Parts: sequence; C-alpha cells; structure tokens
Amino acid sequence: MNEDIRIHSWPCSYYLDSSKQWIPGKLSLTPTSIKFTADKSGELLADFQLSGISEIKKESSHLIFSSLTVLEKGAKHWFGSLHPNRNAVFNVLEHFWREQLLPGREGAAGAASGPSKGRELSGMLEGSQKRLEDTAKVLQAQGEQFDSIMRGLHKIEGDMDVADRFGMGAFPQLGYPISNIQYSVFHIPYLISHIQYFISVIQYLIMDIPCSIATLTAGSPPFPRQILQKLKGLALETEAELERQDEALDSIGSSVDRATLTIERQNRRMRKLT
Amino acid sequence: MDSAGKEREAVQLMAEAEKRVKGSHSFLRGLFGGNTRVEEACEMYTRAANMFKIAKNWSAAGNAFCQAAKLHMQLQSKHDSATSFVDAGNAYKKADPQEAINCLNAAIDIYTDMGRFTIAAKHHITIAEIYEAELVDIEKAIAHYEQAADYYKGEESNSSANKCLLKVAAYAAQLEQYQKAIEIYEQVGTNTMDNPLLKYSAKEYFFKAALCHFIVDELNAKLALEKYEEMFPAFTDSRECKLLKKLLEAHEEQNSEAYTEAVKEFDSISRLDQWLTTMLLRIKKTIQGEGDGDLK
Repeated sequence: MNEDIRIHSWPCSYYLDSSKQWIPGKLSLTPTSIKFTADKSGELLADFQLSGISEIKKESSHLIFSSLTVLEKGAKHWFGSLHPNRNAVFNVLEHFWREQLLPGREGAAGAASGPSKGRELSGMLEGSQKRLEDTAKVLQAQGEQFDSIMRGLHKIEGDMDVADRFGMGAFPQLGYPISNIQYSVFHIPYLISHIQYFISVIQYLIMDIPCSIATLTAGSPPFPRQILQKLKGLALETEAELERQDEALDSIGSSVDRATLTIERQNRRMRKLT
Repeated sequence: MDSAGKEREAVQLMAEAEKRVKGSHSFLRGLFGGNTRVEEACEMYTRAANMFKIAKNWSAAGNAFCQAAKLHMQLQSKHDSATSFVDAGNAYKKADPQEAINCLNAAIDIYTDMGRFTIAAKHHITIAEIYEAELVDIEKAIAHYEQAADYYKGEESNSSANKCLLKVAAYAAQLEQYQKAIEIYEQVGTNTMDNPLLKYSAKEYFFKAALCHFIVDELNAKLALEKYEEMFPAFTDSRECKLLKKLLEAHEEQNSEAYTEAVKEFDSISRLDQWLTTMLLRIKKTIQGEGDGDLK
C-alpha cells in the first residue's frame, strides 16, 4: 500500500458517531485517499478513497463549531478543530479531490492549455449569464409570491364585506388589521414598479450579451472586458436588490396572513354576538 | 440586565404559570373564569420563554413556548398555538434538534389542519435543513423536502416547489438513486423550458438528467440526449450539450484522456461545482474500470 506517500497531515479531531465523541488525532491525505488516525490508540478511524467523495463542506452547527464535513457514499465524516485553519484544509482537500477528475491542471500549463484572453472572457460571460439565470429564477418566485398575496388580499376583501354588513364602527379592534392591509396595499404598487424596472434592466443585459460576444470575436480585448465586468457587477447588484425585495415581500406576505387570521377571528366573534 | 437575573425571574414566572393552570382545573374555577386563568398562564409562559431567550437558555425557552402552545390549544386558538410551537422549535434548534423537529411537526399539523399549506411547507423545509445539518439524516431530509414540494405545488407556488425538488434530485443522485433524480430533472426541465424567464436554466436540468443517465448506462444517455434536443432545440447550442456529446464519444472509445480533456475544457470556462465533480468522477470510473485498477 502507498501509505507512506503522504501529501499532508493536519492535527484535528474526528466525530465518532457510535460513541458521540470527538477523538483527537491526525487527518492525513495521500494522492488517492483520506485517513484519520486517533492519537491515543493509533487506531485508524476513517479511511476512504478520494474518488468516493460526493461533497466537502464547511459547516458549523450548535454541536460542532466550524468543522469540515466530507460526504462519502451516504456517510458523513466530521472533522473539527482543524489546524492551522479550516479554510486551508478545505482548499487542499478540495483540490486533491478535483485532481481525481482533472489531473495535472496546474502542471500542464503548456502551449495550448494556458488560459488565453478569449477563454477568460468567455468565462466572465458565462458567469454573467449564470447570474442572470439565477436572477430570473428569483424574479419568477417573486411573481408567484405576489400572486399568492393578491389571493390573500382578495380573501380579506371578501371577509371585510362581512365586517361591513355588521357595522364595523362597533369593533375598534378591527382598526389594527385594516391599517395593516392598507399598508400592504400601499406597498405593492411600489414594489411592482421596482420589479418592472429590474425586468427591463435584465432584458437589456440579456440582449447585450450577444452584442458583447460580437465585439469579443471582432477582437479588441480591453473594451469588452470592461463591459463585461460592468455587466457582471450589474447582474450581481440586481440580484442583491431583488433579494432585498424578496425579504420585504416576505414580511408583507406574513402581515397579510396575520390580518386575514385576525379578521377571521373577529368575524367569528361578531357572528356569535349577533 | 444580567442574564442570571432574567433566568431567575423566568423560573419564578414558570412556577406561577403552573400554579394558575392547576388552579383552573378545580370545579368552581372551571365554572367561573377558568379560562381567564389559563389565558394568564399562557401569557406568563410566553414571557418566561422570552426571558430564557435573553438568558440564552434555549431548551428552557423551548419548553416554555411549548407549554404556552399547549395552553393555546386548550383555549381553541389554533393559530396562536402553531405560532408558539414554531417559536419553541426555533429556540430548541439551538440546543436540541430532535425536540425542535417535534415542535415544528406539531405546528405543521395545526397549519395543515387550517389549510395553510404554504406555511406548513416552509416549516417542512426548516425540518429538512435540521436533518441535513444537525442530525445528518439525508433520507429524512429528502422526505421533508418532498412533502414541502407537494404542498407548494398544491398552492400553485411552482418556483418554491421546484426549488425543493431540485434539492431532492441532487441528494438522490448523491445517494445513487438515479432514477428518482432523472425523473425530477426531466420534470423541472420540461416545466421551465416554455417559461420566458426560466427557459435559460432549462439546459442545466437536462444536462444533469443526462449525466445521471450516463452513470447508469451510456446508451440510455445517448437516447435521452436525442430526446432532449428534440424537445428543446436551444439545448443543442449549449456548452453543456456539447460537453455531453464529447464525453459520450470518449466513453464509447474508452478513452479516458479524451474524457479528461473535455472536462478540463469545460472547467476552464466555468468552474465545476461539487455535484458535477462527483457525477463526472463516477462516470470516469466506469471508463477506468479495467484500465488502471488503482482507482477502486
């Protein structure tokens, strides 16, 4: 066995699920596998092939602070208290895992495979496109949220009719949900105009990508690069803004929810009173 | 405010609340204003819970919220009960994941009973995330994501449903349940390819479905690829489709170098994520099978 070809090893602790304990020891990496040996007993507690890994994650939970998890064939291995630090170990492990698929990426920086300007730009374009795709998904989800809020508001209107018929003036408690609804109704057109603005920005960006490709193939390197960087920045910005709106919508949604429930309750009480 | 003081105050409140609940059980009290006493107890439990929160005693806070939830239920206010169960769940999440799941499940039961499926779905996702991160039970996480997806679909929240389904598919593929993953990716792909906003992402889902096919059987992958191109012509022009064709060719010739080269080319433009790395590695292993046997 090639146990002595050790690329690196780190002191850390390993979570033993059977005894629910953290065992101090050493995590070592060979070109094809990961091993963990306990300090005290020298026992080999984990030993698996790099190629069997399905995921390496930096995680923290209330039980395990800042640990690294490696998912391998449905089993999850937890490594904690990593030295020198978690990021360094993560980067090295991920690198050698990817190495199984893409061997010698760094070594083969020969004539053709070096990252050319064109390739770099294509990468940026690709990145922008991916961002915009994600943005589109967020927008779509937002649209559906609006639909459901609208349905909620519609229900409220129906219920308010009932309240009306019984003479709302006698029920001062209703003041709260109604102001809440008015607040939501006031906000929705504002948010819609925002969203429409972002849709136009995105449409512009999407139309701009083929143009940028045309410029790219025409071959004036620094210029498209700038456009693309802006494009990417804008796309990122758009996404951040959309996410913010998403949160706003969330809160409006829950406030409408609350209002509906309060009104339902009031209606029931009113029916009992009459 | 020092947290030890808050905690002491909270413990007192809990005892006081308990007394009130017991008091409300007596016959005479039951006739005259027993409910008011229960209501008061309920309020005390909630206040105690909030004080425990200040003192960062999460399981005590969870327990107090839980008591409040049970009393709300006794008072027939289902919504308040569900809200308290959710609060209990959030508090327990920081101390006792299993108990957090129990509380959230109780809230879900109430919400579904009231027909509020969107909220129920949201809490199913929270449970799934606890299973993913704290308890590492991927199978259970999958089941909760699936339930959430079903509820979302019923409420016409297709985006949210798809989000959950894609999680399920990714995990299913990791656990080598390829058929399940393929079905989901194909379903999401066909649902999105006609949507003006989402059609840009459809290629990704067909790509992933084809990769899952590929791990199981090369010929299936070929047939699937043809089917996807026919269904969704824009797929043909995508980088993903081109990569698949190269990989299929390399696989047919059992040429591991050509396979690696194609993957490298793709990776140099956009870095492969971990899921793709896993799947592409699994396919690569089927090439090397008899070649160099050091990778087993």
